[in-house]
Amino acid sequence: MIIQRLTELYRRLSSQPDVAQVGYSSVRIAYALVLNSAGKLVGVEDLRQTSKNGKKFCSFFNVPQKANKSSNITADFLWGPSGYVLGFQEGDDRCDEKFKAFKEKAQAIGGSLKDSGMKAVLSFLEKWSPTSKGFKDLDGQSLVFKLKGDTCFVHDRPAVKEQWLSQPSPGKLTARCMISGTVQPIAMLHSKIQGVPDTQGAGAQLVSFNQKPFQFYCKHQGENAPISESVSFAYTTALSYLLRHPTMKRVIGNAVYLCWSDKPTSMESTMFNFVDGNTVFDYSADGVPKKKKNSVKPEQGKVVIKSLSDLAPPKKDLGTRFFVLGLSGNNSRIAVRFFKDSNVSDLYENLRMFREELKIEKQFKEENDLPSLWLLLNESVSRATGEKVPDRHFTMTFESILKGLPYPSEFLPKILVRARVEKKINYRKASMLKAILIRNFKKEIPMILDENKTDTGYLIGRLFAVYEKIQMSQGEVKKSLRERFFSAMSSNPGCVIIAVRNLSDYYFSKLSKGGQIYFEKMIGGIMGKINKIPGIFTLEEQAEFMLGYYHQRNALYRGKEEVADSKEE
Amino acid sequence: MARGKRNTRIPKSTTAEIGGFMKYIIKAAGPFACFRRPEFSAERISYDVITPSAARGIFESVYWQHSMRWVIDRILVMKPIKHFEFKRNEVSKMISVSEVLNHFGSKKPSGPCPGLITTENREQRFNLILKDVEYVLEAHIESVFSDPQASRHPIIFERRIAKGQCYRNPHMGTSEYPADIVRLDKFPKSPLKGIVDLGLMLYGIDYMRDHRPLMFHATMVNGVINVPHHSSKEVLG
Repeated sequence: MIIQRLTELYRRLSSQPDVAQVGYSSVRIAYALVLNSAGKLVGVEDLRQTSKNGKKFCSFFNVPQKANKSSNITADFLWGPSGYVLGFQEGDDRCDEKFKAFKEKAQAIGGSLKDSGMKAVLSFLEKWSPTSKGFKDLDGQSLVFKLKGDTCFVHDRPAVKEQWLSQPSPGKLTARCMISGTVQPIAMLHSKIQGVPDTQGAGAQLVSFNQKPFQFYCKHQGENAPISESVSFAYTTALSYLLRHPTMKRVIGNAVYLCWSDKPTSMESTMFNFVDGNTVFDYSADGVPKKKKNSVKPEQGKVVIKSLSDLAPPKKDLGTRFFVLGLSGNNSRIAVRFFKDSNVSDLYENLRMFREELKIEKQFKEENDLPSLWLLLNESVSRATGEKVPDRHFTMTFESILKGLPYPSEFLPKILVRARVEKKINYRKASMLKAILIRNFKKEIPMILDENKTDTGYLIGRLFAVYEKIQMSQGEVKKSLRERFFSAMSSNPGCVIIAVRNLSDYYFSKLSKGGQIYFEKMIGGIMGKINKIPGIFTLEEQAEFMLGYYHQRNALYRGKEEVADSKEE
Repeated sequence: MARGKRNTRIPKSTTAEIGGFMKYIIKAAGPFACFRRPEFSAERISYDVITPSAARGIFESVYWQHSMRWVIDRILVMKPIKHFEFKRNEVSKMISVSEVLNHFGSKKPSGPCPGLITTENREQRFNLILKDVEYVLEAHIESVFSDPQASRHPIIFERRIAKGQCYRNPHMGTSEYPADIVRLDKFPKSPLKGIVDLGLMLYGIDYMRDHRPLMFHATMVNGVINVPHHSSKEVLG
């Protein structure tokens, strides 16, 4: 199914100029060697581009299809790294053999051609003796050939192209293709795909049978799952395209997720923005936001999102089929770990729900409206000790978001532990707790303080915030109520409620008459709704406590003016 | 003590197929299932639903003889398709038969006996399997070659399934995922609704023609997959 969808994607993309045609691969090339018609090297053209911060990077070009390396030395036709093309590469002592193989391949395929470009290359290779003198820059880089005066490369010249495409394909077996259902020549080795995390630099195969335990009935390589050469080319090219695309791919955890649709839709560019969010503010160690300098990198596909409605797909896109594929690497193989076949409206609904559930009132004015998934999940680990969020948490959460399923149950305890250790609750933790309560426990949580809510955990959280406020209004204390009792109150209130009350009564008595009336009313209102203060809170109640505390605290700090008014009375 | 023949008076079958094409319905359920896709076999990625060959395997584990063949007619998927992923340690090599034969065949075997040290040949393989599966399978028996005892097959099968007898534990694709099976009288309705195109699925392996895979186009309509007969044009291979 997956390969079938990728083949359909290739068909859609094949008209685009940056997508390789049959018989060609898209490869990063650094330099072009410029030859005159006699075969003498007259110059070196730098094909690299400069990025914003001054770094040079190679762009992709279409070159004759990369040969599958069945042995260690396999030359390509008219392109390759300097070890093959010029016979030198630092640290490589087989360059002589490599150069020989390259020369032989060029001779074998293009030897009969009368094309001037091909002739120039062949005479250059004849006369060239591998030396690195004067070509230190080219060491290890990918090179192509160009005839002086031409705008295209030698391998793009019409006669050379025709010769290359007419080469017989190496596959000898013809059988029924498992994907298309028609009888075709079968691919023995599938092309390698680069760009998946945890794979070798040279690339890895999605379909491979490189070791004996993976082979059936003593069949070799591609015989184990007959897939035709054209399907193999199509799906590998489509995958490479997706893995290079800035917006249709995102690395989350240790997997890379790719997305595409039947027809071009806006969702292809915006899907991962739901997860990236809008990281305008960075946070200092104590959690106070400070503005980031250059937070948006459009070349990585991240954009500034003013609001969620920016990301909504237009009506005409809603019924289009949409696919999400998750891949992770295992050295020379790629494993499929997630595949979702649905449509744009379903996916948008799930992504929108994810963001809606996270919405909660901000603690400080400058907070990221849409914190990224990375920021959110980092609330469950200890930043001070450098603890990292395990990769599978990222992937599991992302997959829960896409499928609309409950979050992994390990999260709630982790976030609660962090809140108890840090003895405070910030905006991002509150968002995550709200989302988990809504999705996993099917509760309704308001965005700001709800005075009518009667959940015990919520009310006790509110109560604690009020007690804290009473103490804080008396000025600085050595060890505040929060520092002493936050963790205990949030997990086993029944044990500490008396101590907390006694402490706050002491500070209560120091308040002005107006303040006392004000707070008494507030406490009365909360206590009136509490039936019983339990000895131990369940995880759900602990989360409610945190949210009640957060909401009430925000409300109290906003309502400073009210206390001043009542004092004057 | 004289041993007499047991009374095996059984009415002769008058139709060409055994049991008069009587359809047997089995419900198979299990916590996990893995019906391996051939193209992703280096990692174990499962098809979304049970393959006809795995369904045949469940019937065959209860009762099978050389002269008969189980033919699956319909598959009903009772529960929504859920996936489960994990990595597992396996090995990257197989012990070579010729090595072992040479070692024991020679008069003075030199060196250690060829074996496989798992710690040296460890390979982690990624598994994407199905979770919480329940299928209802409908099949009938066909005869492969003429067998005078052929008319006994349905009776023996019915007795065995009623008692819960089987040659090996019925399983969901691979033997790590056992299946609980029970015989049903009627083909039920599935709670799943809608039409799902499952693409080309593995029908089975053609052992007579160099073990090639046979494919068919699977479509699930309200949870029901109609499996074509192996001789029909719909089975490609």
